[in-house]
Amino acid sequence: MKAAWITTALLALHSLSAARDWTQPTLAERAAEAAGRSPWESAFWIGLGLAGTLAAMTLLGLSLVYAERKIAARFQCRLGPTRVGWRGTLQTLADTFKLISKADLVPRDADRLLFFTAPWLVVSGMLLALVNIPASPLLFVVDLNIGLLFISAVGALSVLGILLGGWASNNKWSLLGSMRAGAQIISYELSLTLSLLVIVLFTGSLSLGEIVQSQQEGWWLWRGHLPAMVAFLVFVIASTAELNRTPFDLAEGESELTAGFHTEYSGLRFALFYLAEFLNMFIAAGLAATLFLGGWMPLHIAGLQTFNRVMDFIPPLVWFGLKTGGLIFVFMWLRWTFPRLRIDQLLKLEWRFLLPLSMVNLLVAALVLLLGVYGKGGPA
Amino acid sequence: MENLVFILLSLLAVLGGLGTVSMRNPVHSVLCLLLTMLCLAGHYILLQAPFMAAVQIIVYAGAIIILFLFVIVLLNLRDDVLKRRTLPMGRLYYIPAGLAVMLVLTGLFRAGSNWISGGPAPEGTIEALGMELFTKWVYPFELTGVLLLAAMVGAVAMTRRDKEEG
Repeated sequence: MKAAWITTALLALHSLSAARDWTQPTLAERAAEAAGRSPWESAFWIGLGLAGTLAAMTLLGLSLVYAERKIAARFQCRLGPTRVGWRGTLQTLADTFKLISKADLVPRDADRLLFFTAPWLVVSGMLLALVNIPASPLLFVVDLNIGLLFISAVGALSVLGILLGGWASNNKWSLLGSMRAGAQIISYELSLTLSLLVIVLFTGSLSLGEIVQSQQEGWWLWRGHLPAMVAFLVFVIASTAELNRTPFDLAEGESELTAGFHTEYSGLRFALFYLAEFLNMFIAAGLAATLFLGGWMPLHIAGLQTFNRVMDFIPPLVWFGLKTGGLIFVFMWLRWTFPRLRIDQLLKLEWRFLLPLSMVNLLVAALVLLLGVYGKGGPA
Repeated sequence: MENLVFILLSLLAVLGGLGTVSMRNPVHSVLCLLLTMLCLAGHYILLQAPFMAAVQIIVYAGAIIILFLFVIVLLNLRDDVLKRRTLPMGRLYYIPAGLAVMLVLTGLFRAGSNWISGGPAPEGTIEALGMELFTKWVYPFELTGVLLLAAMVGAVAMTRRDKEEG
């Protein structure tokens, strides 16, 4: 037990300094390793993983909502929240308390059991995906050997939650919103998965840890040539649609559907849907950063020794944060720039354009791999 | 520990199965089916086949159950329709079902005390699966693909309307 504490402290220090040795056991591996020695130590690592994930979830949720409001305000020449806390930083915290203390309304004809379970399904799908995201060699809870597959599998839980939430509300707007969300998520899942497969093809692994390791030589976005770039673009577009964010936010098109599948939800349950939405954005951005932008690997440019040394001194967590944050900004930028599509335009975009494109792209990636041209050019 | 997880998952799976056939509301029924599918995915993990587990969740929870939900929700069954739902000569169907249960139970009792653990399965990696699938079983695999494609094309062709009608 004492050893566990000391190692944690040392590891925390280690993560602040430049970690040259990238191979660190994940929390789950530490727990499994300790299971034979002492169950307490194993429980400690598992508890640390769980508590860390929950803390990260809360913190990210609060800061992402704040960031969205501030960025939206800037795009619209407003100031955004300014009153609560320094420059309004505590605004989301205050809003959370407001949401929790609100009256909890349940429609009379709702299917009560499903109405109550739906938000938790969405949140549990999100949490199961979140533990797989490698934030740094140390802040990495589970490294499944089927990591990517697992993330797309648990995504199904969120879709189910949305569908059931809309159906259980017994409200036409909710039902229409959830059907749209379901159709949209299932459609865009195809090109999303195909774009992930390009990287799986290059790496030869589904484990997120190994995918990050494979980018020590250079990010896949550069090293994978054209197919990786196309896959990156497809991934960003498809995940914007998966997240139900503008320009693909038909599921909650205010002008036609009030608020879509969560029209009838209030208080804490609404907060859960909202939280899951923002954290799914984080997961999508984190996944894109991990797959295409090298995860927590620092930026290296071949030949520039000094530059690379300096880059090494920036801790992995900061790298991951910068890349993910940048992508999150892109998501928000898209949201406040583009108008909403119509449902037929949205489905046409996927089935007539993105899907064929990503299929051809996967074939090209396979060709590139077979001909052995990858690994040259770009920052290495 | 492993046995405990196995028994828990199996109980939940059986419970889900019972719920699937006994629930009045079709949406609840589909959810019970989902419970069974998820428990089966848990069984795959116990059998050291995480890939199968993930595929089970993707295919069943992610695609088939959602498809069921779509269909049921769009059908918009009203209560009076649901109450009328009985098969002709419903009792007769108990006989084959009962026989099947007896068969399984006989198998269980004959297997004796070590019915829980069928011995450890060889650890299945995705690479090994892929090699098997694309070398030894490549023809059946490709044929299945063509079959599925034919089914898909058929479904599209059946729902397609001519321009004049639409």
